[in-house]
Amino acid sequence: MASKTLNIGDKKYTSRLILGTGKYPNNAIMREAHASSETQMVTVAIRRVDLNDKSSESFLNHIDREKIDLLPNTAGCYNAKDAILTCQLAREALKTNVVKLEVIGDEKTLFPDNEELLIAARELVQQDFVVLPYINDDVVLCKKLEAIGCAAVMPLAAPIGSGLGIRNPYNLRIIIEEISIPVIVDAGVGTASDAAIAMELGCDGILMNTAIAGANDPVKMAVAMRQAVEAGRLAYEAGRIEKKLYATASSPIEGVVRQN
Amino acid sequence: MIEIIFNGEPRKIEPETTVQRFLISLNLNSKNGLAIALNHQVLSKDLYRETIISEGDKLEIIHATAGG
Repeated sequence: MASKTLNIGDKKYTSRLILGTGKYPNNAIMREAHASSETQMVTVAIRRVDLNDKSSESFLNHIDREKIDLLPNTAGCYNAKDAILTCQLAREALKTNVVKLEVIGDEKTLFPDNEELLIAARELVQQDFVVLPYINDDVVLCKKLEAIGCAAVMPLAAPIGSGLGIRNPYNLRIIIEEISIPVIVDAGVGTASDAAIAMELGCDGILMNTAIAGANDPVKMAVAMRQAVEAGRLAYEAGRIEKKLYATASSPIEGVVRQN
Repeated sequence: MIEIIFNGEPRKIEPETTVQRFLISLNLNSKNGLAIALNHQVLSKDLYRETIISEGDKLEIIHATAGG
């Protein structure tokens, strides 16, 4: 039986849409897009403080913390050591042990480094983190991450920020069938139909940033994504019809008016 | 003066400076949502006052910012 909520660690989310906080035209639009999407979790990056930034206002003030949990990421980390320290710092700064674990292996594609990712995930789980790893759509790796105690797996649908959509639905479907922890598509979604396709396949949630932040109207796109995620999920739960090559009439075959 | 590495850059500070004094010197002492690593170990807030920064120490001060 499919879960009615997106369950991460010991928390249950009614929204299956996780958003980013990067690349918005400004903070007011970001806040409005978050509200319109009805998201309950957004990612943030962990960075060295900028001493040239004289504003006393914290970036976190632009996130509705009453409704939205923070998901710190390890974006920009290229090895397990840096990713682990970033998570530890995030836990200290934000008082959350839930982390989006990224260990990047290649600057051009931003594809993950599986080897370093596994090392970091194992260590972080041992340190009581709730680990959500960003990974390739690789079922073998997903199984390993599930076995070591990750709270979810987050396969990419296409490269980060590419908007190329769900490039390999069959791999995603295999992961969904083989993995018991939540499967959250992270990266690659370009528009609403991409989100709907991922959800129709049976994904538990979607994490996206650029598709909304980079849209001409991010607030409107946030609404579109919320509706697409909801529609896709409902369609998955409803169970789609079998595909057939030939037509099957929807109206009765008998009793048709004929003139001869 | 002693030299430390602060956020990846060399920086000269007075000897016997505590982490708390260093934060004040950068106007960061009242900022929320910061975390500090000293020589790659997270330093909890209650240790800022008593921890003295030594020659060659590597200090990282981070916060959350926009990201995906």
